[in-house]
Amino acid sequence: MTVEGSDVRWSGRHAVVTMPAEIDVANSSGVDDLLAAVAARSPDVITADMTATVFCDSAGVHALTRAHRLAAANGGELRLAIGDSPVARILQLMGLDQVMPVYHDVQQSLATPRAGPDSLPDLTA
Amino acid sequence: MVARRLCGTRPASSVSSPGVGEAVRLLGEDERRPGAGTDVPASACNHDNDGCAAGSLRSAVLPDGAEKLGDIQSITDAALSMLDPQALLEVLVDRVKEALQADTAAVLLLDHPSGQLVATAASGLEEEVQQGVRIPLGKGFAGRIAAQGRPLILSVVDYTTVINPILVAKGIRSLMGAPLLAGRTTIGVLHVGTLSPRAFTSHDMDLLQLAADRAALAVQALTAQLDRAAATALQRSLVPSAPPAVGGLELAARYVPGSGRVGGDWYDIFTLPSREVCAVIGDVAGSGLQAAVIMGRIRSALRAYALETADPADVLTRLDRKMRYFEPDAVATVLCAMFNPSLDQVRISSAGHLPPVIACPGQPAVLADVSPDVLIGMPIVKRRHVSTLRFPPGAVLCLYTDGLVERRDQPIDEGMAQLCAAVAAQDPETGCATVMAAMADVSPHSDDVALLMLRRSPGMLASDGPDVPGHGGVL
Repeated sequence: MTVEGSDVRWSGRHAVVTMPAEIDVANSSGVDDLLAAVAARSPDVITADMTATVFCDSAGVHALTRAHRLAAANGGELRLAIGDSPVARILQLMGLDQVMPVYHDVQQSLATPRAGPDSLPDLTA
Repeated sequence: MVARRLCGTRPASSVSSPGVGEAVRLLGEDERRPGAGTDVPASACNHDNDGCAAGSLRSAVLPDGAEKLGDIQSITDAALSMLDPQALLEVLVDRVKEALQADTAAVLLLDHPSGQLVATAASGLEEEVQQGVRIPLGKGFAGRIAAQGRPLILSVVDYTTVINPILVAKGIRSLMGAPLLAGRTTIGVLHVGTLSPRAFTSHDMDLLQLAADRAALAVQALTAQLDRAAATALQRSLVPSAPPAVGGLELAARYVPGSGRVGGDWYDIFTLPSREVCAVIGDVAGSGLQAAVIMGRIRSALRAYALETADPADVLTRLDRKMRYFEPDAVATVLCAMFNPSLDQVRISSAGHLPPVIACPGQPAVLADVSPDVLIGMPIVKRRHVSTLRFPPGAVLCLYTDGLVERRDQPIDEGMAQLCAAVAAQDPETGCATVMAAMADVSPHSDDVALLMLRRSPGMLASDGPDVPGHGGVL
């Protein structure tokens, strides 16, 4: 399963998925399938590397939300590596940064162990 | 993919659009290499003692088979111009039955919500359709074909091999079925049966698979047409081009589908018994009929919750709980704005939706300070916030979806700034036209665009509220 401009690398049980430069209705289902295939292998962490992504419309955001749910359903966690991408602002406006851990780059995410139960988002409010 | 493997001697293009001559020639190639097209699962062979290999008890004679294939193809070509998939399938099963000299033929289509195959057209086996036969995926003969996406031959038809009692009661002795494939996905099953034992051959199987391929294309095309028509009709009802008049508020709206395809954007506005006015805008993930159906459900649920609570954050919290439970695959951004009866204040809560633009008379328009809470449908519960804004006479509130401001070549903040520059405290109809013109600076939007502008009537006194809920008329 391939999407132009994207690829998957594994570091143990941590999958790093490089996202395409632009994610929109034209390729979002491909991104969806790619992330679903990765999530199906039950990694501890999937880091979506969006540091080189310059555009992500609502179709792209929805692909990320589905991947987040799939990762959680398989016992994993979806993280975003954003860097200085303009996409960061869109994700913030949509409240996604409150749901998915955001890192500056892939190295930072790789160096950060999986969050324990104490640091999970607040489920009681 | 099975269709490819079965018909492996055909060029790939013939899978999507086999010409008659091409199909005839390729069947000829198979004829010279007996068994080339045979792909009968071992499980079928176990039951098929005398005919699983390229036996020829009663094989379709090639020239005749080719002619029959031509018949099947001409039907499906003609059917593509018709709008009734039911009629197409009924003709198709008749012709397939004749072409294969079988006694029965039936098409079952996969019903996605239930995951069951539903008997849709049958010849010689009309009871299947009349009794609304449904076969679970993976169960029985058709269910196995659908689950595996592979053709199957059965030479023993009893309750150990089928679960549909009609097949047994009818006295069917042999069955052959093929999947209707849309890409990698099975959308249905076509099967034929005989009342006397029959060893189906690889040619029979090829013919059936070709008919199934054609049927799949036709069903997909017709379903897509019907889906588009239904989605458009549903979307129109959810996004009326002329929003209903609400007392004390002047309204105007625009909706433009992205790339000509109906997307997931919608808006709604209604007056509550408390004389408060509720305005909603949202964007459901996906497009087409499925997204339109989810939109309709969200709209209904929001109206119901707005009757129960005057707190927009509470409305969205309830909506989120409902969606996570009943529509666990759906994701949406939704913004809910509630105006108090005198319209001088508006309370806004946003579930991941872009902030509205607000313009007061004599002042430049600004982005409303609304905290972006989590989208609807995420597997997480967080407290939602409400922002209360002053809404003086003549003020304009502009609700929109992301397609209006997102551009490939600029950060979204610039798009929102551009929108602010285009919004003014003027009459909403002119306002919508101005905004659409100002923002249509690029080639056709790939995403759909919804825009709803509301102005508090400039001359209205604070004590004037709408008299008739929902239909107060424009003052």
